Amino acid sequence: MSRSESTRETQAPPRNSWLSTEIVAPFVVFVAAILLWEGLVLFFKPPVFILPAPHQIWQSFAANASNLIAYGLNTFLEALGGFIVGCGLGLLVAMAVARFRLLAEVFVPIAVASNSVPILAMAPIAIVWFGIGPQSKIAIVAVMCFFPTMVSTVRGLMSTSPDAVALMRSYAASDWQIFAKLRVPTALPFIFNAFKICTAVSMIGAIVAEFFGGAVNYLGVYIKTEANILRTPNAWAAIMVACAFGMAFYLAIVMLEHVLMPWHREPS
Amino acid sequence: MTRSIARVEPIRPTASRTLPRWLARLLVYLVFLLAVVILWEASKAIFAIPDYKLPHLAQIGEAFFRPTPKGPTWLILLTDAAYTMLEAVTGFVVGGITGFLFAVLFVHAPVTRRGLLPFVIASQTVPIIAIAPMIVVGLGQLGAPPWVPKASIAAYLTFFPVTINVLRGLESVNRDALMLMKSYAATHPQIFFKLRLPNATPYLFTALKIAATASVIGAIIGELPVGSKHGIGVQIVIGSQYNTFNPGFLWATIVMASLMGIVFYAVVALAEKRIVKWKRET
Amino acid sequence: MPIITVDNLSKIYGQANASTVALTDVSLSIEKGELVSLVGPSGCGKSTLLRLIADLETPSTGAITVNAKTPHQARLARDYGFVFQAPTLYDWRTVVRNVELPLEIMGRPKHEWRERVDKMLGMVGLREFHDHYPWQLSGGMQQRASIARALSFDPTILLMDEPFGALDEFTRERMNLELLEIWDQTHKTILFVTHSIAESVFLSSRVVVMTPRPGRIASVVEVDLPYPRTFETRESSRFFELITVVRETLKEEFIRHE
Repeated sequence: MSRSESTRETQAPPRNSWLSTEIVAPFVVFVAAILLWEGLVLFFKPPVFILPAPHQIWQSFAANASNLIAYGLNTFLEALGGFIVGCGLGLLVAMAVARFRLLAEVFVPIAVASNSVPILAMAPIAIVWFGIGPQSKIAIVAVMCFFPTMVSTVRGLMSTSPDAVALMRSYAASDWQIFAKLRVPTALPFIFNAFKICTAVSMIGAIVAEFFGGAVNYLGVYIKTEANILRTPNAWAAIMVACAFGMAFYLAIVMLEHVLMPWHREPS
Repeated sequence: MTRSIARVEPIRPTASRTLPRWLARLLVYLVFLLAVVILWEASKAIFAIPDYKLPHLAQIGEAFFRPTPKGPTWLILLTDAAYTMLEAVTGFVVGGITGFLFAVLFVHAPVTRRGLLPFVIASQTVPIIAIAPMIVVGLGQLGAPPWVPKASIAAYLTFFPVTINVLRGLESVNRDALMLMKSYAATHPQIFFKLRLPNATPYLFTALKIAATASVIGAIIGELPVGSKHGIGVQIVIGSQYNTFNPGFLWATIVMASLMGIVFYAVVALAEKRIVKWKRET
Repeated sequence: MPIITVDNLSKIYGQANASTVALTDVSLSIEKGELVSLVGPSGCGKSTLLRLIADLETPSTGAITVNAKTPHQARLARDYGFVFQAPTLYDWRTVVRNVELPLEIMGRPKHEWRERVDKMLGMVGLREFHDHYPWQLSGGMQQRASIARALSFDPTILLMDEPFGALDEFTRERMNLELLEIWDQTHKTILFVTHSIAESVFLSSRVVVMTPRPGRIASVVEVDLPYPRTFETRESSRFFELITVVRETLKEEFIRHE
């Protein structure tokens, strides 16, 4: 369609590298939010145990940094473990399900329905089965990651256009070649969408699962105990550590996405 | 929007050749359920799994009907579930309405969009559920009634998906459709109610379904910190504490919590089916 | 007094150093009740010209009058109905509710609607499908609904932007005949944009041939084929002669500007 025929009068948006849109803008917002928070606390002077000021949280963190980071790492490893198990299983099951349409008809609706079940409420059962250690948290995170990954991957694998498949057949491509060269690349955007959601889910899931019980050197347990005795700056410091791990996890997946999907443009 | 489908005749829904679709699905699920039951009891027998880890299904059933001083267990659990449900629904409604209004504001006043949307998105990065203990304790100290922190968590969890999705729905209007309205010299309210709003409804329901589950989870998690008296979350905590003595009870509480989530989700999904009648089966 | 006049119209997109001249120095006049086509290859500005007349875009220079008003006034007065290439029906409304849309917006009283809409649906042959949703109709049927909608509020002018472009050739030829029938019954002024030479000759009394780079009118061809036009018209030698005339004009312009 020529330019004169189209009704697009404005210029195309300037091309930024992925670095600026995904990092700089949120960073600016973050700094602004911190300043706003400090301002609000200064003005309204709420009691410390209700809403501490950012600088108090920072002091809390600084006083306890090595511990907090260690706890954060422990919790992160739970999240990572659950992510790997859950997403890995999700991918495998999805591949099996996509292969056999019949399985898809049965399992995808179940997976979608499981969306409505509060999986975190099952944390106590995981603790009963796997003990109070990290395994129970890994199990819960794995279940939380499994379903979205499976559903997204199945959708992605089955989203190839019939014409594209017909083209492959016209080259007498084997089923495996069609799978590896067509279905998998088509599914990658869907898979990474699910992965990105799961990074947040896994970190939050690990922390909240720890609310149901866990050892003291884990972030979730620390947050709960500190909050219960009203040492809120400590709890907030721990939350910040959790956020930092969560964002790092997310960015790692984004970088992996850029490596594996160099052709992909961010949808606006 | 409409796409040209090169069909010769209009499509009418055809009846299935063998069983009606819903019946076939139901049977498949019943078979699945039966398989689960068999696997359950079989693995208990084969691997000698103790009751406190995997109770007999009968024990779970029995736990539901065990009488207590306050009444049969199932009634207690139901009341508590209803309490939690109320917290979740309150938050859901408040968060949903707020999110919707924000989206409408953003569409009509682009200044607010540029200014506030980054904050809305940033709010998503704060894991509200992880802060639940602090919210509950903090608001409790301020003297708020116990249901307020839980409803707040539910509202927060609903607000974000609703805002983002409704905004996308209101803005994703087909360019030609807007031109059409312009050619009718339609007023802004007319464009909103006759074009943007119906266009956004499917998006709204996608968000509501996510928010339904999230609200339930949020309300339950809000009941975990020490000091909560009512709600299914409290029962779950009790159940896990007494699990070795009363193996079926913990599972019963979790079944009740799951039922809550499923029912809430189903209500929203049903509402979607009735309101968004025009979507073809994908 | 012509119902549409275009005087020295030009339209330029973009800024000084990165601009596109969509239309340059276009002048045209259309009499009431005519069926005129704008035909030409991509980039000749035919759709832009239609949208300028419809006040869906504003000119850079020049003047347009529609029904003795400015395009803006004409749009506010709802003097014309617009038909797009895509049917642009609303997914969430049934066919009848889609056709009612302009009447709803214009605030016409309900009892006035029903009869009118029913009549329009009858004219395009969609009466039995009035309660269907757009996705249940074929492409041709959707486009017919779109035409019924454009006519439902009885505008004096019909502006059509490649309405049959997305249809297959057989459906398109059928729709051409249906459009002529509608024109015969309603006596509207129709300005029709197409990139099909055969379609432009078959439908119109005058064919405005436009060429690109820059977009302008190359020539206007009078089509002296008698109305009512039928399938036989497509096989007449005069039909082919006229198509060749249009084609030659386009070829000349290309060669001249190579």
